[in-house]
Amino acid sequence: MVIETEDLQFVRRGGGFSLTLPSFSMAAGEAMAVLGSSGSGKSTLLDLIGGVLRPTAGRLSLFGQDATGLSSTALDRLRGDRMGVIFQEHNLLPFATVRQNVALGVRFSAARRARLTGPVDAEIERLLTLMGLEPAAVLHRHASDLSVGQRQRVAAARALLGAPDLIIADEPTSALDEGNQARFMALLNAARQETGAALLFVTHDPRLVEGFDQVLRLDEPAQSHGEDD
Amino acid sequence: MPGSMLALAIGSVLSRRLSLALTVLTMALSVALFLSVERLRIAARDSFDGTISGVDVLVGARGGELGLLLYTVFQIGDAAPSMRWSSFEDLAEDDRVEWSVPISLGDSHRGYRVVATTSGFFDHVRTGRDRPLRFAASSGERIDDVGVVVGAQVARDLNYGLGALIEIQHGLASAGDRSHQDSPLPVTGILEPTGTPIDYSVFVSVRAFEALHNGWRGSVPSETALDVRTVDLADPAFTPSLITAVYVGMKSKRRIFQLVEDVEDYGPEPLTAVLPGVTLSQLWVLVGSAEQALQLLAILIVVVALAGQITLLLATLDLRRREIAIYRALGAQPGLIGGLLVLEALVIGLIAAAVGLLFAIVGTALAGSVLGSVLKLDLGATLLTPSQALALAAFIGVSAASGVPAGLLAYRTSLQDGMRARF
Repeated sequence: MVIETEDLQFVRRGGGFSLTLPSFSMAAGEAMAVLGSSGSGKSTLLDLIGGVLRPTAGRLSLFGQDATGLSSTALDRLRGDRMGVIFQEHNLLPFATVRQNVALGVRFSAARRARLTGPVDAEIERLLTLMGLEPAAVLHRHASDLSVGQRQRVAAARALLGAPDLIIADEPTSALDEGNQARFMALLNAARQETGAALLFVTHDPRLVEGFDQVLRLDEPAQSHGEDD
Repeated sequence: MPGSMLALAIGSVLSRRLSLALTVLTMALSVALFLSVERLRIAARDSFDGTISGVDVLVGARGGELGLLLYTVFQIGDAAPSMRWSSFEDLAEDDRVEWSVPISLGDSHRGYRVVATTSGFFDHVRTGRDRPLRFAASSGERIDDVGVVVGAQVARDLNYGLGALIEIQHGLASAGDRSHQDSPLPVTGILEPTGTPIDYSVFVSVRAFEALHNGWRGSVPSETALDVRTVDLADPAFTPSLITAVYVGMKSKRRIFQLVEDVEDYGPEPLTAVLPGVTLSQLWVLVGSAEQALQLLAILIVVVALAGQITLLLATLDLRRREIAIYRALGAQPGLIGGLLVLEALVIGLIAAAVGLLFAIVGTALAGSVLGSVLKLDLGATLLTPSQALALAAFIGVSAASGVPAGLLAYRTSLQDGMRARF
């Protein structure tokens, strides 16, 4: 299993926000949508799975390992080695080129570098093509010169570099118009299916959850109290 | 991998180029100031220490020892009172004295001091670490005739070669009507550079000097001026009656203090005997605190510039939270993110040090001739002395260390923000 949770709870230090999650599991290659309105705890769930927050109670297993027993360093390594992350926006370093930004995907992980099937530049070009970009046209451009849609696709290419087991996507389409949303989703799904990565997709838009293997709803009144970031 | 992180650090630095350029400029100027002050300090000390060696005792009319030394050797300060020629002769005949050289000052040539002396000056006076005076060019004539020897800087500044005729001005004025214009004297020797006031001096014989002043009353020109080139300088009429000082070399160093006591008790006129090394030490004690204050000021300016660097790194940290969040999401550990800030500070420090060194070199080259003519200092050709290199390395180290507060804050921020920047 990629993710397994059991009675997972998180209470922010000092109180103010608490989250209780239903038990769920996610198999390799599976796509799960997490649907919830703003403040429902979606970001906290991602931080828990990403290993930057620790659950207050319950069990969290990542890639078959008990994540609650891992050190911060081990969690950082686990995230770097086995997860790719796409943010809502501001995914890229504006001062770096597209090539440098995508290459960042394997910069902090020897395991991901080892999983590259060929030279890193060739792999970057392949993933950019998969995400519908023309490598020659964008590779040496600065991220700040790209459109929002192009940036998100470059971010997706970075998340996929080095074949991570899990892609975490935190509302990656929220800054895109409807047409680009659908195009991005189609490209992302096709690309991650090719690499075999599981997808944990967070959104507040119910229209985007169609086609996912599982949908986890965080809007149940009993699940969260207070306001998430 | 370290190379690629350095490339990212440089990229990040360049993305904030304007604010960073101003910070680097401030830091570079502080480095340049520090290096220049240090260079000036070393040059001043070397110049003072190296101006005369081999002179055991300096004798002049009774007065302040320091004033006599500064005026006679370094050609700065108020004119020292004169002593009699006969006193010089008595000293020269003393059994304990190996050699003695008379010095007369007071005239000038186009802003450069004229030193009236004998050829013994070039035989006995040493500079630096017992380095004898050497001629870069010489017609072979001794100075005791009408020839003029010029220091290296005088020859360079005024483009003088052997045979050039020069007019001595009475006193320090450059006005033509107070010039010994009837007696232009030929340049017969050009000294090699010494890095001391000697480079800025014009040497004539004491007898020619006396002949030039024949008939003058104070600063009033003579109506019966002689052409010195046509007279017999061996004529007793041209034996000076007054001189400024005498350089003395002893046969035995053990008898220096005995001679000093005898000079102080000299009957015919009140005289002062100065031990140049001892008096120079006293001078350094006097100026030592000013020197330290100058050094401290330069260090403080460097500290202020480094504080500016810390401020800049902290101020821009908030703008970089997204950058930090990206690194964290990709698996970068907080320590590495803190290290990135320190690396950035190191890059800034290296650039500032390099630019500061460049400023110092260019500034020294530009100011060298001015400092040379005004302070008679040779700033030398050495780009970086070992102590300056050490200071520069320390600056780079402290600059990198100044990234630690921002690094720690980035570390904390990355822990708090996790994979996303929170605002």
